[in-house]
Amino acid sequence: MNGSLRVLRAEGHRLLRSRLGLWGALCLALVSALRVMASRAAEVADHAASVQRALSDGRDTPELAVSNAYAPLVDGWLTGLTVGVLLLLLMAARSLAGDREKGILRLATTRSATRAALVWGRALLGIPVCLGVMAATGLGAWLAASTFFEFGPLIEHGYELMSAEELKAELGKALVATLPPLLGVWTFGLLISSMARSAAGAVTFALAGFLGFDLFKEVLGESQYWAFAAYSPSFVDRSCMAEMAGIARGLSDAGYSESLYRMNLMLPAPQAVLLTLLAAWILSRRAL
Amino acid sequence: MSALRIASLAKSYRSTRAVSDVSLNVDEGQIYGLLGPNGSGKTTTLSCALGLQRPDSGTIELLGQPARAIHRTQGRVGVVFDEPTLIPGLRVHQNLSYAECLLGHRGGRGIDEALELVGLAKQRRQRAGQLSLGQKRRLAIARALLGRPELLVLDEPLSGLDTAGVREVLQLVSRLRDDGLTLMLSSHRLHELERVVTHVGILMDGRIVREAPLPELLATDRRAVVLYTDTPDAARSLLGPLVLEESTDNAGPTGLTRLRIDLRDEQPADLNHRLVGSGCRVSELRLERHSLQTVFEELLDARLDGAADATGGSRS
Repeated sequence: MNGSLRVLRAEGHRLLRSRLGLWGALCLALVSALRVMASRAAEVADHAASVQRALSDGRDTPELAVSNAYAPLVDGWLTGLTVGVLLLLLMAARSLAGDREKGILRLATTRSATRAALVWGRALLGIPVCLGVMAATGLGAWLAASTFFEFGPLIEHGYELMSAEELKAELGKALVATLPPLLGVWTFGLLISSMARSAAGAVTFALAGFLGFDLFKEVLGESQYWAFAAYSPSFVDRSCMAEMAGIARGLSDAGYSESLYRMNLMLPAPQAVLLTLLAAWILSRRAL
Repeated sequence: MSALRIASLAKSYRSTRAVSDVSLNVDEGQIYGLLGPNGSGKTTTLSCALGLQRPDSGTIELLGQPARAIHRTQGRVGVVFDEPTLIPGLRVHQNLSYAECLLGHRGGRGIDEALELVGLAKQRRQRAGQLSLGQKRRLAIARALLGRPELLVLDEPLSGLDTAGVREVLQLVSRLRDDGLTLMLSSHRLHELERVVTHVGILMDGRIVREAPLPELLATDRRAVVLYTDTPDAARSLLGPLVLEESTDNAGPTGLTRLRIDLRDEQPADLNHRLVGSGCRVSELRLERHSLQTVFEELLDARLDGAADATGGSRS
C-alpha cells in the first residue's frame, strides 16, 4: 500500500505542476460556462423575437425575464462533464502506455514501487482527478449561471413546482451518483493503457470502446445498466445528471427510479476495482 | 560483498536468442564496465538485472534481493537508462521531486545537492524538454543519485554525447567512484570507458567472452615495441626473428614501415641504441600497450576466425 501512496503522491505532484492539469481544468470550466451562456443567448434571442412580434402586432413589448438558474446550471455542468469524461479517458489511457514509452515506468519500478503499485497509485489518483473535473465544470457553470440567471424555486405559471432546497438536494443526489461512473471511466482507461503498445493506440482504443458502447448501448436495453459506462455523462446521455436536467425544468417523468439510483451508486465502484486489478495483472506480465 | 550477481542468465525474444549463459559479479566499490558491440545483449542483460524483463532462466541478485523484487532495495539502486526518461513538461527540480516522491523521502542526498553534484544548479528552473542531451543525461544521473544509492547502473551513459559531454560524464563517474559508490556501466565506447572502469565484462553475441579486472585484461604475455622506420631492411637484418610484424599502415607517419618487435628482456632505450648504431633510422619507437580497443579487436578476430572455421571458409 505504501508504494501505491508514493505513486499517488508522485503522480499528483506531476499533474499539479504540469500545464496540462491547469489548462484542462480551465478549458472544462470554460466549456461549462459557454453552455450556460448559450442558454442565456437563446433566451435573449427568444425575447427579441417576441419583442419583434409584439411591435408588429402593436402590443406592449414584454420585459426580458431572468429565468431560474438551476436548469442552465445543470445543462452547463453536464456539458462540461461530457467533455470531462473524454478528457479523463484520454488522461488515463495515456498514463501507463505513455509512461511506458517514455521509460518513466522503468524509473518508478527501480525506485521502490511495484508494478501493482504503479497501477493502484494511478487508480487512486482518479478520485481527486474526477472530483477536480466535477469541481472545475461545476465552478464554470455556477459562475456563469449566477451571472446571467437567478437561483430560486422552480415556478411555473405562478405555481412553485420545487423549492430551491429541493432542487439543491436533487442536484446533490445527482452529483453523488456521477462520481462512481467517472471512476469507472478512469480505470477503464487504465486497463486499456496497460494493454496497449503505445499511448496513441491506448487513447484510440479507449475512446473507441467508450464511444462504441455509448452508440450501441440502446441495443442492450435495460442490461446496459449493469455497466458503469451507462451511468456516465456521454453523448447519448442516460446519466443521473441528464435526468437532473429534466428535473430542473420541471419535467414530471424525469429522474432515476430508486433501484436504478442504487445500482448507479453500487455497481461502478466494484467494476473499477476489477478493472484496476486486471490492469495490475497485465502490467505485471509485461516487459517495461 | 556482491552488489550485483548474475548467474546463467538466458533471455530470448521469440526465436532470437538475446543472451545466454551470462554470469557476472559486481563487487562493492567496483566500477564495472559491461562492454560489447551494438546488439550484443548489454541492454537485455541490464533490463533483466533491474527486473524490467523476466529472464528465461538464471538467477539475479541485486544488493541481496532478487531482481524482480528490486523495489525492496528501497532506492539503494540508482539507474540511468539509455534514454534519459525525463518528464519534458516539468522543470529540472520538479523532475527530481517527482523521483523523490517515488522514493518517499528516506533522507540522504537531496535535490539541491544532486543538482550541485552534476553541475545543473543554474538550470534548476528550466524545463527538462529544453535541456541539451548532455544536460538531460546529467539530470538523469542527478535523479539516480537522490537518496542513498549504493549501486548506480548506467546504460549507455555516453551515447549521443559530444566530446565535452563525454568528458563531463566521465568526470562525474570518477567523482562518484571516489565517493565509494559501486557503478555498473554498459557501453560500446571502449576508449572512454577505459579511463574509469576497474573491472570489465565483454559481451559478444549474447555471451560473456571475457571478464577480468582491467589491469589483468590489459596485461600482455609479451613485451613488445612498435617502431616506424624508412630503413626496414637494416632493422630486419639486425633483429631477425624478433620482428613479429611488418606493415605500412595509415595510422603512423606516412611513407614509413611499422615494425612490431619482441623486446624480450631488453630495455627500449637499449634497442633504440642498437638500431641507430646499425644504421637504422628510427622515426618513432614506443612500448606496445594493450588497450580495451585492442583486447576487444582480438576477441572480435577470434570470434570471426571461429565462425569461419565453423563454416569451413577462411577470412581474408
